Amino acid sequence: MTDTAPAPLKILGSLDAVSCEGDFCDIAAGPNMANTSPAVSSNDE
Amino acid sequence: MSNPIKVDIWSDVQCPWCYIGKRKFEAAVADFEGDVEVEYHSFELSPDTPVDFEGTPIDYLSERKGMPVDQVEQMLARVTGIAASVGLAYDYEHVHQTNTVKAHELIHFAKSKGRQLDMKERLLKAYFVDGRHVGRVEDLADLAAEIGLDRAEVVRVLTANTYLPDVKADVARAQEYGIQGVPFFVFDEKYGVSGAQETAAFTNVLEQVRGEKAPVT
Repeated sequence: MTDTAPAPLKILGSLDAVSCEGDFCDIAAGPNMANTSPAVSSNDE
Repeated sequence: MSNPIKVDIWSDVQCPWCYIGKRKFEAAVADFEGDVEVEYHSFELSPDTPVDFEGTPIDYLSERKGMPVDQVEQMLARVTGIAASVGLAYDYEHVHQTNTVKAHELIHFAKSKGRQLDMKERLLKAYFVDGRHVGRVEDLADLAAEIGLDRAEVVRVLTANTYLPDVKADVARAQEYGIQGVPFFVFDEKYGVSGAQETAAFTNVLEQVRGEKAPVT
């Protein structure tokens, strides 16, 4: 990595995968994702 | 290794989904016909947690979030079951909730020795499976020695906070990317994948990135 700000990322895959946020793990979404195929949502569009 | 796909992974040692996601990602890489270079980065889920937190993860989560204990227990039972499905025997009865900044410093030290991946795996297993403490310098030095790193050197660099700037740089880069949860996977500094996705999802992303890297004919 460099010291310069990174380019915005394209987010792939379903966004409801389980993860940990803050001091807590968000497991409400569960592991059974309806859509696991890459689909570009956009934070750079 | 020729033109590998670089995967930067933000993760915390005490994030259950990070270990599960690690296994699912590793399964995708194992079946992927291409070179993949992995680098782990620091993400502190609870930087204000005392190193010697008095209590269990159930106490911690219920106190922090005001959730009923039985609800927290159900959640941990569920994640333990999912971990088992990928071959990980989580033992929450013996987990030591702690501050992970020194563990992150150790991961950076291990990277300087070319042993980052081994150290990351050892720390996750120590926390979730083995009931080991991953917040105290002496305990971390023991774990480092178990993978062949110099124990005395580990004590020295952790005591001196030698790799703390590297941890903070990782956290800052996560903020620049807008990462709010972990695990978070960045492919070739271009694509982001959030959460413990299924192996097929990681496979799809790897194949997409490989396709875009292929030379135009």
